[in-house]
Amino acid sequence: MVVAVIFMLFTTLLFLHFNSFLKIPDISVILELQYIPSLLKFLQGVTWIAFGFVVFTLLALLFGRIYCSFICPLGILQDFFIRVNRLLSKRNKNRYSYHQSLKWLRHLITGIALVSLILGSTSLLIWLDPYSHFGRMATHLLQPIYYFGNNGLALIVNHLGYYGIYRIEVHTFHWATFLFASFILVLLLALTRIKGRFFCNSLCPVGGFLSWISKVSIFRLAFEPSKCISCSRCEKACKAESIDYKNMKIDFDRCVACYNCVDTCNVNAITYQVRFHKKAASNSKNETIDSGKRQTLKSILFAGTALSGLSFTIDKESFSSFVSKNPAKSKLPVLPPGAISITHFKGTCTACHLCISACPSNVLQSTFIEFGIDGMFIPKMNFDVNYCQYECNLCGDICPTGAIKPLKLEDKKITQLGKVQFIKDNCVVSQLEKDCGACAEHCPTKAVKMVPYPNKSGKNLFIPEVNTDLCIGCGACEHPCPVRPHKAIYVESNPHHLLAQKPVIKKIETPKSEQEEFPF
Amino acid sequence: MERRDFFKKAIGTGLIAGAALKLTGYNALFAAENTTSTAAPGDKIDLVAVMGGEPDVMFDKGIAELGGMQAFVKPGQTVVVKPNIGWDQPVEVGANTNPVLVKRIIQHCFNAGAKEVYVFDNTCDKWMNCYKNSGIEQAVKDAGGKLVPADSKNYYREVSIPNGVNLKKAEVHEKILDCDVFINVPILKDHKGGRISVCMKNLMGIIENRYWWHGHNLHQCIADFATYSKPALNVVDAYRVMLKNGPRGISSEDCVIKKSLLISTDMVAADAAAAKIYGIEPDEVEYIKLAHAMKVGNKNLTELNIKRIKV
Repeated sequence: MVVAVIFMLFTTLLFLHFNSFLKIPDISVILELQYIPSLLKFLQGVTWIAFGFVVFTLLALLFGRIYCSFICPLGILQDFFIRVNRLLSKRNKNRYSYHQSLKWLRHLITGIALVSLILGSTSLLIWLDPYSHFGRMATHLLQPIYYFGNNGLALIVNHLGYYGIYRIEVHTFHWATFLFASFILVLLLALTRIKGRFFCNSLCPVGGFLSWISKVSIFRLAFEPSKCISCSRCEKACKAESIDYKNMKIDFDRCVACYNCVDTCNVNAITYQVRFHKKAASNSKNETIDSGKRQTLKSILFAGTALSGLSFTIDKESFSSFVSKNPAKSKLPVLPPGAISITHFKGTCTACHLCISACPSNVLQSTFIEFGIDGMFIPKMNFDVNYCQYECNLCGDICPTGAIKPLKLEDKKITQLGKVQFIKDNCVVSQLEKDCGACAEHCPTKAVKMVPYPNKSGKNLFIPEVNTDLCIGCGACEHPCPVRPHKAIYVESNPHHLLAQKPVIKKIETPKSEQEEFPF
Repeated sequence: MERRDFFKKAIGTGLIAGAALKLTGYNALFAAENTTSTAAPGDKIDLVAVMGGEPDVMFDKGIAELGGMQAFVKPGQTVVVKPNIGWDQPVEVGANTNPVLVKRIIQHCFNAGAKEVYVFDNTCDKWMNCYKNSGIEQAVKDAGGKLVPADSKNYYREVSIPNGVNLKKAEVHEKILDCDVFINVPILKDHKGGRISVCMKNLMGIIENRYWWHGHNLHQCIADFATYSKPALNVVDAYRVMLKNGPRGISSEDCVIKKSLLISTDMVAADAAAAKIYGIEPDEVEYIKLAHAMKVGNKNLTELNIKRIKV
């Protein structure tokens, strides 16, 4: 259906970092419709815009699990797999049959997710939320493929003298996340082949919760016994395996509202009916599925998933002519600006990795267990890869769950993610008695500045001096420091973000007048 | 294609004619009192120093003293203009080369018959933001040049530096290696690691791993690389000079308007003159001393034939 395709397309584009013709913050509005993210936003009190879960809960109460087939990117992805599967299979037909899904598992997972939400933790949602699963697949499997294709194209057009398309290096690779996303992908491929939308009715907490609600939906799909000719087409077409054609029964709580049954029925025997009056039929939802378009589009987007085993490593080679001795690493992971505190971040981030895929400098990277076992895959600032751009506040603008709050640029510029620490005994200037200054050069606030350094050889040298009051913890000093294995300067994370002082702006002593004469 | 070329040429010729007319008129009136030279007329000019005008006007006058851009760029040649675009900062902070100057240089190259003019820098901040917010992206577009990326290892090829003391090899951007003419257009600014950033320091933007230099005696690496890469022309933007908080700068308050411009084929001479404009002695900058000793150029301004022009 067109709606599903549009949502899928834009959600995918968001993750592909297609900023060239669409502004990311503008299209990220569609993520307000995502169930879990909008729910998390709602729970934080950012209510006016977080309407996705309200809308789809109400819709479920009316028509069933619309979210599952129209908005949920993981659901649409599974539908895509199902279609490809059908295309590839010899008989080219659906062959599902009525099965009870693992009811106890669905209720258990939904129950656990609800309890953990109430307790203010997203540690389980990271493993369960379908949107976040999709996000990680898009970031860690699809984006590299897209970049790979882009770079191939760039290679060709650059050769021809056109530079509108340029290479984009993949800096987001993270082995644990890659494996996890791949595992879920393979799991879905297998499940969709055998049991259709099994995932949605057994392992997904959104599916589970909406199934509770759609048990009491006002309008529901049901048989019209007088019309049914017992041909079994509907049962075979039902991805959710919720139709029992012999008994003319539909388990509407498990129905994912894909309307394949309606579509496939030649005699219009399945229609929306009001729950309490079996006779009153409504044909309003008899829409046909525009499978062709969805098909083509998504086959393009997902072609070549197998190619994704590329390896991307961070440069660890030694840049300095001596080996540093003193460890220089933040005890806690550094959070992105707007993430407030580790407690807040862990309580609201579902690790969908939209920020990771969108971060222009790729300083935002996935983690494994640095946030603890209850916060796996949550993003952190990784200054080995890059530093946070002073003029950028994109991550807060696009975060769908409110884990990274949007900050005005001027506020972001004084949000202190951590404090700079200088280890003199690791520094090029003290060890080699040579100039360097890479850290101070990059510092946007001059929390790191170079001061005269008296030395044995009597050379005119400058060494870094830090002022933590001015530091915003952006990592612009840590990233370029050439010393290995331990840098001479690093950012020690603030577990709770603080406010930094504004940079000192002072006029130059000499008057801004034009010089009269050449100084030589 | 033909029509576009025609327009390009027509506009170019118009520009040059206009500039020349303005130039000759101006010079005829003030040449006697405003232009001074340390050597007898007819000698080879080592360094042109211009003061008092807008960047583009100063360049027009300065390059004319060296025989115009046609002395450096021959018809059909490929040119690289390499400004400093290191930071995501607006023009008034003085962290990046003035876009007005970059635009004018590209126009001069095309007027001299250049086939293609490429512009790039291996930036510090995210390259797209630097290119855009420095104003250089627009300037290059307006002048008809091509802004190319430099943020991927794939754009670089390794070269050996036979005369290097510390630096024996470096990865250099392919556009530099493939071009016919390389024009270096740094901005003069404060830089505590290198003391000042001018011509030789600006070459750190054509190599891939500059942090290696920081860890292996920065000054020696800068001088080593200068023995390898000698731009055909160096144009130093000293219109707005950042005197503190360099090289990124915090605000326009870090700058002083000096309205100066230096043109030279000798990087060491240009850097030495720039040091004086900045307010220090050339000998306070170690890489200038090292490069002079390695015979990259001449730092002794008194030995040079300097053409001084006041606009």
